[in-house]
Amino acid sequence: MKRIYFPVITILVGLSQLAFASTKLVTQDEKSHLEFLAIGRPAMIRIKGEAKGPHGNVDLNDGKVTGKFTLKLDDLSTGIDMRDRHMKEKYLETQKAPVAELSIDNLSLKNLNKVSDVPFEGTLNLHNVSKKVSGIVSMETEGSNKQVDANFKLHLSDFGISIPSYAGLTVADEVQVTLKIELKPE
Amino acid sequence: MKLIAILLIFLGTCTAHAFPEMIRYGYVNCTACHVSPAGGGVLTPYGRGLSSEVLSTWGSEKEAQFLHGALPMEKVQDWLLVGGDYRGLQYHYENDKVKDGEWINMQGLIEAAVKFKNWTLNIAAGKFDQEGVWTPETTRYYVMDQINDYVSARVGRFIPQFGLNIPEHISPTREFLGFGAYDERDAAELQYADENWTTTASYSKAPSDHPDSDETAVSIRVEKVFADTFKPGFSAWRGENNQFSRQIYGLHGLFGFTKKLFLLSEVDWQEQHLKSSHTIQHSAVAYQKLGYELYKGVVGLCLADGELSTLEDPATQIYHYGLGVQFFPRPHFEIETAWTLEHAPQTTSVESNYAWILLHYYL
Repeated sequence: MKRIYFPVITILVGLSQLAFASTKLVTQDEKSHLEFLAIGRPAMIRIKGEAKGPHGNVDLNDGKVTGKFTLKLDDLSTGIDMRDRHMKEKYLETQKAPVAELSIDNLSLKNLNKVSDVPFEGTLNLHNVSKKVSGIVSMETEGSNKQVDANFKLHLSDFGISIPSYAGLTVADEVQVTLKIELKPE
Repeated sequence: MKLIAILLIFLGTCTAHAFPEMIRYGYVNCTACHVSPAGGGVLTPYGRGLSSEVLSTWGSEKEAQFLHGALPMEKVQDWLLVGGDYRGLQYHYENDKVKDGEWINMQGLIEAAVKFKNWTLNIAAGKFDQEGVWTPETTRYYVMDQINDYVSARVGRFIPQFGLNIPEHISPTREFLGFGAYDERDAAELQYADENWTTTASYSKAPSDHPDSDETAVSIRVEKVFADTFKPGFSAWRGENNQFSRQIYGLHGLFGFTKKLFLLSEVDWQEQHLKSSHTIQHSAVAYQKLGYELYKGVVGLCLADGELSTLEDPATQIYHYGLGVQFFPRPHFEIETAWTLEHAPQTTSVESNYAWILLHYYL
């Protein structure tokens, strides 16, 4: 019997170690925040939008990070109602594409407690179009939670979004996106 | 009338046809809402849209158009923009020696901007003289070339950019330094403006009938945007005519702390060499305006300004502080009221009360 138990115990211990190396974290939506910055020309208007969220989760597996985040685009606000209506109805077309989703494809962290300005690659689905995006991410650990800052740029034209224009002002194609996310163990 | 003129100089705030405090919404340059890179004057279609959407308590996009939308200006707005301003003010001034009050017509003008490709011709006509009589005199005009997204050049008669381009043209930072009402000069200006920096260089000559008669001057203003809604800047001016030479240096800032809370601040220092007496006079002026939007279209104000016309003589100080409210009920209309205390030891040893209500209507 001892000869039978030993390999079983060994396998169970090994499996538990594998499970320990993989950590699943979920967003604390109320403490997470998205911002975007677009420039309107020729007057160089700084159009800053924001929303609570996004919602999502990540897996940390031996320093490899995968995960998905989603954001309801109707939650975005630039602080001016008419501009928000134009943004959602005319350009983002949130009736047809209500959610944006960011998948983390390639992110390796050598230190799971604190990193800064680590490059990442992901896939962004926006306006029902998926495109690769890349940016940088920083992370700090507070207790069991992790504070994540991620930045990336996107081009509206890549996602089939018309370049916003109103009364002689036109928004630049490039938009800067910043994510501030708090993650907690699932 | 002399007393009125003096009081108008004391008036800390009066008109509003430009709102640099819109920086709290990320509007870091004037040209989003105005044709002029210095702000004020003819509104762009975007500026009219904002006047109903952001500034006013009530109103519609159409109502904000020229003549309240009575004319189909959208058919010509690609090449023709028209506007105009009227403002009048009832003041009350009281101290131990004087009690006074009167209605004053302060501004009445028609302005048009004609655009052709990158070129814009802007002309403003109409003013009230010191007797309150309106005349169709041309007060401001220029030709501007928007060379590309970042660079513009203009030539004509206008006030060169220095410090805050606030509409309160009789604040010490404007009137005292010679940048107040009807202080337009023959000028050439080159401006570079991107999303972070705005740099403006000017060459100007004051008309012969200007208080700074025939002053030729070069000036530069540099501003930097921080954190999307903060824009501090530096200005320098070097001028000379037959009577004096002077240099002015100033620091100013537009600070949008939140979408409701803002601060406009300017401090300037002037050194003036009087040629006839071979004397040098130093002066300092300051302007502060702290505002909070209590409700859409209703802005509470804390106001303070001051001047020390001779730094070496504290008795030459004049300063004001007080509270005010700006109300934009509908597009085209602005009502502003304020009550301030004035400290002017050369006038009276006690503080004077100064209150006013301003009505402003723009076409």
